[in-house]
Amino acid sequence: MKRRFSGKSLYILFILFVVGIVLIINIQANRHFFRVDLTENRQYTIAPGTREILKSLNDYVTVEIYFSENLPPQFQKIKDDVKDVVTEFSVYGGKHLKVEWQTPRENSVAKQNAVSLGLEQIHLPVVEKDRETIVKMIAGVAVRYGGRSEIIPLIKGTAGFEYELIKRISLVLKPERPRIGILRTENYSQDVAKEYFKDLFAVMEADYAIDYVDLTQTYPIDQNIQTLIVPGGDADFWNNPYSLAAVDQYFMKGGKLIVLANRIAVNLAKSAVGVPQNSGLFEMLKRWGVDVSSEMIADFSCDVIQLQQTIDGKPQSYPMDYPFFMKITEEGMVNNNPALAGFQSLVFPWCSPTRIVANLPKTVKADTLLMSSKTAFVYGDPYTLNPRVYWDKRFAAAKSEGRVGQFPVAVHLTGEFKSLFASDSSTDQIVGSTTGGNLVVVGNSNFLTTGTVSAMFAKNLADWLTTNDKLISIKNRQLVDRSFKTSSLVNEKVRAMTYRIVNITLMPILLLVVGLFIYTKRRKAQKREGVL
Amino acid sequence: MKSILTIMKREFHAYFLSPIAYIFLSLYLVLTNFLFFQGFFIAGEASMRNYFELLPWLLLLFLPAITMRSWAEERKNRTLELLLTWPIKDSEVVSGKFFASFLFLALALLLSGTVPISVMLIGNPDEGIMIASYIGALFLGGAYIAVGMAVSSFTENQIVAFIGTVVLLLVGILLGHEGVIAFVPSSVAPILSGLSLEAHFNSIARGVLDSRDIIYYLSVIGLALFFNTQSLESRKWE
Repeated sequence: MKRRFSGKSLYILFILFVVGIVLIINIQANRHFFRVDLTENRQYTIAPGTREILKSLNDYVTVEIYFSENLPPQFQKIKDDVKDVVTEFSVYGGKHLKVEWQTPRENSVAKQNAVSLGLEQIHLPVVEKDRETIVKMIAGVAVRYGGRSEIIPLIKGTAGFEYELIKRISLVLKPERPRIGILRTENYSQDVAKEYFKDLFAVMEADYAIDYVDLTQTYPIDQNIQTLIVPGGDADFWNNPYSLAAVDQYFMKGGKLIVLANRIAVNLAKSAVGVPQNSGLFEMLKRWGVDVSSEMIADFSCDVIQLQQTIDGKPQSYPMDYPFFMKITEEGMVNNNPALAGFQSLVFPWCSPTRIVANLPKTVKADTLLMSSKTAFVYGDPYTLNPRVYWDKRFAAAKSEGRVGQFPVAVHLTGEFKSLFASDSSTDQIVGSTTGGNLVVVGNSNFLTTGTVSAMFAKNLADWLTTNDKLISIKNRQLVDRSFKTSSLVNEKVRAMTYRIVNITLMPILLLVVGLFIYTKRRKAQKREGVL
Repeated sequence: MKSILTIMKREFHAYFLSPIAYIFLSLYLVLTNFLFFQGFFIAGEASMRNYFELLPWLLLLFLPAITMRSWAEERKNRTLELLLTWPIKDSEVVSGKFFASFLFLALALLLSGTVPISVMLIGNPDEGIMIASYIGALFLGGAYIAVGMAVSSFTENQIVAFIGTVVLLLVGILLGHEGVIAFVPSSVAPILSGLSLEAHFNSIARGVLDSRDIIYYLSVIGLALFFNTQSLESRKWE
């Protein structure tokens, strides 16, 4: 047989040559690469909103990226991903976006800069020369413009990094942070409120200067607050004319309002029955074009609650669908509103129908933002909150009384509004109307305490009224809910077992049947041909 | 190309001449689906992430068992010489056998289609991520098969071929595994990660088809098939 190579060494050289070529191809591929992002929300591709903001830069912005040397592996991966994102930012930012990579070594100027900017130093175990040592590490970003700077103190992961970075770029371009007010409607101090609405404060404080507006301390409301969030409030608060006048006049003077109105007060610590509220707030909202009904919505599209039960002397919890915790899915999110983009579901506890009034003036434009599902029904007084009831029977009763349907839960109004105090001739300091009013009303405030996603919805509303639509759409890309579809009270255990059995047995049984069939057929054929 | 197709058909058909292929596929489906659905309903998330996290480890057991016989059996039965006397190139024989095993892998993945269908019925998964994960699984499996065939070409003992392949692939996976990378100097970690079979699979499975990952897998497959061909060539010198 002919030998292809004249000697062993030549053969080895040939092998090494091939391996070398493959190595070179891979090194080059690492330098010049392309990616196809197949994720639904294009999670790994910068969003059109980001591109637009970057293209609109007309002055020089510097992005300083700080990564320490000898990063632990998890941060090495983050650094690589950050590099990918920043490379794309550079393409769209052009000459106005300057990217600087800094290595904050011990006693270096870069480290001094990072520390003075407020970037976090974290302690992580790193293996060096077979020994594990704890190193101080910095992985953060500073965005500079003029004399101002905005920072990402610690890059924890690449999910949402694009939004964080473009948000910092947007913020640094503004002379000061936008101000958002949260009205003190309950007898909470600021510290207690911060704990009670911790998710809301956490998401808001990242982007805004937050004012906790206490009307006993500050009156009237500062008009430099761009948007005021009004979280509920009981009849005592809203029957006080000073509370009403403060909010009314803030709105009339151009402030934007998000009113989360509790028509049914719920205090489970006191009673398992909701208490209807009648106050000036509802009269004021009605005057502006919104009727928050004194009913409570129960919806078969709902969230699950954990109930406690004592079995054999042992407390046990079990899940149960609770129709008063209505779950609004994409079908209930109306008009492709940017504040709702990206959410797949939102949970609203103990909510009341929030309708646009029939005799709305032509100078007001109104849109419904959120609707219940079609399998919802409404309750009147008494508002029994007990979850252990026959919901099907209640639904049937509601159906026979015409209380079943799809109910609006949140509305948005813009245009000309008249003050509740317009006819008050006792003072000429009252502003009687506004032509540029911007108002959102939601039929309950309790959703604020149901988790980060709900707090994010409240922040989106604030973003939408206060700042830039484009930013909202970028942020929402990370908020996709992949939880299971609601099963309309179908037994979860039965469903799980069915899927499990079908998936584990169906294909293998089919395969074995097909195999057996082919085997038998072949045996018969072989017998016929006399092989066996 | 015609020769490659002929060999591919012959080899693929051969899998189903004995009950082994059916038992193999059934075992694979029972095991992967059982393990996946153990945690699926507890997690409550409509995603196949856990399925594809298991896959590199499960394929590590199943694919070497498929490839161990590809050359070792031919050597043992003395049919290799006969095969190599056919008027076709060694590289075509190798490619034909590779594509037959690859087709078998694709069939196994196709039969797991009840899982994505179930996930879609239960919730709203990111279909792009599922598609990318399946593409990643094909590349990863392709690399396993190519390495397995290369190892099989060096021995006539199927057990040796199986164990050799598992060990080699295990090293390939563990190179980029967090548990291993944590114990190597930080400067070496990115290099190991770049060489890891699992790290590139994870990169694709998050939903991104990156030319770097694809070129990496094509390189591994290409090199393994090249070594396989060279191994056959070397027999001609004996």
